Amino acid sequence: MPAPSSSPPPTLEEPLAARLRGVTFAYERATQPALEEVDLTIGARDFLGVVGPNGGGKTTLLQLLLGLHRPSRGTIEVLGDPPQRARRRVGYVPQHARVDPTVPADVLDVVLLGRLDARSWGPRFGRADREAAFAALERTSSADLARRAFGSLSGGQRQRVLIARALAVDPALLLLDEPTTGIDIHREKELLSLLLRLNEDLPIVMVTHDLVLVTEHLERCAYVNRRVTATAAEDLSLARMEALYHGPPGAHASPRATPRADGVVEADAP
Amino acid sequence: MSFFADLAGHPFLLPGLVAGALAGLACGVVGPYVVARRLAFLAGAVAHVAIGGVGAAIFLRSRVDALAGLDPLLGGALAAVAAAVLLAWVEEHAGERLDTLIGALWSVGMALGILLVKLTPGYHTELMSYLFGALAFVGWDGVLAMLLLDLVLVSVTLLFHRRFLAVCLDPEQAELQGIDVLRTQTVLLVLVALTTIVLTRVVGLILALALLTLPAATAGHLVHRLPAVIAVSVPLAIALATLPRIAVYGSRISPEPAIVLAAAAVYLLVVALRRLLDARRVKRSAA
Repeated sequence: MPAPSSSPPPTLEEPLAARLRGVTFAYERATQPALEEVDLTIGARDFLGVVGPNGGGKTTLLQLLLGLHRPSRGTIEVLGDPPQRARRRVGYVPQHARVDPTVPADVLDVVLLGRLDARSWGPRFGRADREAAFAALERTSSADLARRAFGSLSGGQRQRVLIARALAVDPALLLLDEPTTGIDIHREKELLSLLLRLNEDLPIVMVTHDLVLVTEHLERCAYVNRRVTATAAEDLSLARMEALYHGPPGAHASPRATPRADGVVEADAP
Repeated sequence: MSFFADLAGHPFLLPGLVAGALAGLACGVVGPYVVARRLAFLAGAVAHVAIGGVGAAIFLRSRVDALAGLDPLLGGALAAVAAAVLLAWVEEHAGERLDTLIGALWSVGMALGILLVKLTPGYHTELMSYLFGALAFVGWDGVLAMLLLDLVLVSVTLLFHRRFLAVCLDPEQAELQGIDVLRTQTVLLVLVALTTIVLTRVVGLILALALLTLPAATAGHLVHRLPAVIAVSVPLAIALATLPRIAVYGSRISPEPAIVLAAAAVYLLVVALRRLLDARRVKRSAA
C-alpha cells in the first residue's frame, strides 16, 4: 500500500506543481522498470527532497518531470500540462560539474544561455533577455559575479549561477539534481537558505544524497527506490534510511510503515 | 625589406599574402570553438580524410575525361565534409568509442591519399603541396575560393554563435532547451572541415591543426569570453599566417613550417608570461 502523501490537500487557489498517477517507466531493454506505480503530488508551495539509493530512479523521476521520457503506464501532469508542454516553465539545475569550466564564458553568458531556445538565431541576446538574466542574478544574490569568468568561481558560486540560469526563464517549478555535491558545508548552508528563500514563491524538487539536510530543513521528502514513498521529512530517521539504502534494490519499504519491532533498523540507530 | 621590394616586381607574391590573411581569418573565427569544444583531434581526423579526398580527385582526374579539370581541393573538401558529418553522428551515438574511429580515419585518410596518387600515372609531387602547403603557387582564383569559404564561415558562425557556445558549455542543458545538439555539432564540424580546406594552400593539411588551435589557445590565455577570444585570435592568426612568410622570404626556410613554428612560439611565450604574471599576483596578494 503506498503511503499517503503528507502534504495538505490542494486547494482551488493553488494548483498543483506536478502530479504523477500510477506512473511506471522502464528503459529500453531493461529487465525491470526503473520506476513502478508512482503516485506523487507536488504542491505549489512544496520543497520536496528526493532521496534514495544510487540507481533507485531519482534522476529518472526528474527526467519524467522534464518530459524527457514518456511513462509506459500512468499519467504525469506538470503545471497542469503534459511535461513536454510545461518544459519551458520548468527550471532545471544540474550538478555544477556538468558545465565545462574551461570554455571561455563569463557568468552573464552562462545565465543568458538559460534564455536560449529553438528560435534563437544570431550572435547576441536582446535587451529583454539581459534584463531577465540580471533579475535572475539578483534573485540568487550573484549580480556582483556577472563579469567574472565562470571557470574562476568556486563550486558554491557556480551552483548559484546555474540556479540563476534556471531562473532566467522565470520558471513556475524548479528542479535540482544534487546541487550540494562537491560543495563545502558552509557554502551548502548558504545554498540551502537561498533555495528556502526562493521556495517562498516557487515549488522546488531537489534530488539529494544529504539526508541530514532533508531531515533538518525540509518538510516533505520522497524516498525513491523503484517505488516512491512520499513522507514528512521528519519521519525519515537516519537509521531507517541506512537500512533502506542497504536493502535490496527495488525493496519497497515505507519509512513510516517500517515496524518498530524491526530489530535491524533499531539496532543500527546511533 | 626584400619581400616588399620584390612585391612590386613579382606580382605573384601578393596572392600568397592575401591567402595567408584569409586563412588567418578562417582559423581565428573557427579555432576558438575547436578549442572550447575540445575538437582538435576531430579536426585532425577531418584534415587527414581530406588528404584521401585530394588523392581520390587526382586519381579520378587522370582516369575520367569528364573530370579532367577537377580541382583536387574540391575532392578534399567533399571528403572533409563527409568525415565531419560522420564524426558528429558517431560522437552522438557511440560516445567513448570515438577516439578509435578518429585514430583510424586519421591514418586511413592519409593512406588512401598516398595510394591513389601512386596509382596515378605521371609525376607524384603534387600531393606534397596539399600536405605541407604551397604558398608560392597560390593564384587569384585560389584566393577567390578562399574568400567565398571565409564568407560562409563567418556568416554561419554569426548565425550559430549562441548555439555553439551553449553546446560547448553544457550540451545536455542545450538539448533540454530545444537546441538540436547533433545538428549544431554537425554544423560546427563542417565549419572545421571547410577551415582546414582554406588552410591547405597556406600551411597544408598536416600543419592545419596548428593554426586551427594555437592562435585560439593563445587568445584563451588573455581573455575569458568567447567573442573576445575570437576578437584576439583573428588578428593574431592573420599576423601569424602572413608575417613569417615575409620574414623568411629570400632565405632557405620555407614559409609553411615557419608559420607553424611562429604560432607555437607565440603560444609558449604568452603561456609563460601569463604564469609569471599570475605568480607575481599571488605573491603580491599574499604579502
